[in-house]
Amino acid sequence: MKKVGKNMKLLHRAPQSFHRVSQTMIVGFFTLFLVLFFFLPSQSLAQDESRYILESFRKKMEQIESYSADILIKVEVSLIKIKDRKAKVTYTKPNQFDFKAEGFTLLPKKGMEMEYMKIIDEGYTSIYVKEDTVNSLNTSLIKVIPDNPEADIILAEMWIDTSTIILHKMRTYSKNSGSYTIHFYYTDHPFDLPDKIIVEFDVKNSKIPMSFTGDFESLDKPAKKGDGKGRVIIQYANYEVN
Amino acid sequence: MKALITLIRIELFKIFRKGRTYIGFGAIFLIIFAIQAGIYFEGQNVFDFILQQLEQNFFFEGNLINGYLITYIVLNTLWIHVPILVALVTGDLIAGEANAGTFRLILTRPVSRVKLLIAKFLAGWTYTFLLVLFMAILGMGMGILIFGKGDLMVLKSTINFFPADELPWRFFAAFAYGMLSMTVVAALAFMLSAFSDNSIGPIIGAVAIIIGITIISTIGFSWMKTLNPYLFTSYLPGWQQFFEFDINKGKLIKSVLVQLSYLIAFLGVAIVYFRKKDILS
Repeated sequence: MKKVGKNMKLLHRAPQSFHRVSQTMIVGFFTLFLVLFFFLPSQSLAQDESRYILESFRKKMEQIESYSADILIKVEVSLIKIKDRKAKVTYTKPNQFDFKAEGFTLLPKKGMEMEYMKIIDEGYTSIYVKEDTVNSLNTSLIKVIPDNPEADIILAEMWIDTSTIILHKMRTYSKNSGSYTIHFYYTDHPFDLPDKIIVEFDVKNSKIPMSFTGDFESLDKPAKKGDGKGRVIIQYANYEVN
Repeated sequence: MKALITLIRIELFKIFRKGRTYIGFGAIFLIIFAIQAGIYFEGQNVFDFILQQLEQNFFFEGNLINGYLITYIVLNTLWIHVPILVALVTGDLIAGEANAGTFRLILTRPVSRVKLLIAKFLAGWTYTFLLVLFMAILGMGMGILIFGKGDLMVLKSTINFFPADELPWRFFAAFAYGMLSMTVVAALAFMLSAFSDNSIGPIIGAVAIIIGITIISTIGFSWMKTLNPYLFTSYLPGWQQFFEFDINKGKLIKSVLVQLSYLIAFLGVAIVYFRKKDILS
């Protein structure tokens, strides 16, 4: 009798638990609905918008078949003392850069070779992040993740003025050379090529071994301290664009 | 004056008749040859190692292995190698005569002892000058001939890059300064030579003083730090000041003045002592 009584109780409970399961399912479906109808489309829209901006930018830059310019390179790194150097840069589509310098020149690893074009050309996933102000200009901040897993740059942030499709700032995070922030400054070139770029990067404040310097006076001196940032300022002049 | 010039010519004749005089030139030739061979075969590896600190952030455009680099490395021999070669001849100038027993004969001539010493020192200085000149011409000339010209990288507390067009005057000034330093070394060996009747003593003595003081004051004791600014050995590598981006004129003038003071002191002591020296050999 006892057993029968228990089973009876279970039979009474069954509709209640079924009711609970169906309630949970409804909530779950509703959440999924919300995600599908509100969140994903906004993500998709963000990607579409950022892609649209980047593709517009690519189209504009692709009009340049080649260019050459005189450049003046100023290196501001606490560990290095070098006078401003003149060089000539030649670019040929799609991604060939040639530098000819007077004497020994230090060229920043990122910033001078239109890395953004390589990222865009090799395929990417992009996200529109927000509106942002760079040099008092309204820009759109877009995060770009290169599709190529072998690429050195793993993430790039690009600040593009959507009204003119001009890139004003870019930050890259790379596997081998840390992060770089590149500021682009323009005046009035037909293809919106920069007149000046400032490349900023992290530098280590390391001390050069005395065995290399032969500088006994430096034995008890600490390593030269800077702000931990390196800067290279490149000024462009005499553009010849084809 | 004419008598002094004649005396200098005689002393030069004596210097260049001795085989040991050519040891200096031969040694410098070998040192420069070794440096050039080392740079030719291993220079790039060394540079790659040094520049790896910058490699993370920069591409390099241009050549740093060139004749100026060779000359800069050659200049570093002014610390130890060249002082030994200078002392080898200048330490023998007075003691050599005593050792050979020719002083009595020389001093019977109607020439004052002071004039004789001045002539001897100037002859020794000429040898020193020729040695440094040989070093400069061979180092820079052969270096540029083999490796060409280019910018110079100098490692100090910072990595300094000097453009090629600035380097001729910097090297000229560095060699001129090096010449002053070697003149002080020559004066030291010359002074010790006046005290001795055997040339080995002044030669080894001069070298020992230079190496000894350099080691003690460099690695050394904290109390040496207060003395360092007054030691001439502290200023032997002073030519490196010309490879600073901003040359500290005050420091440079002080370096020159301290060395000139030592030069005058060494020569003064030698002259004062030798004037009253009892010539027994």
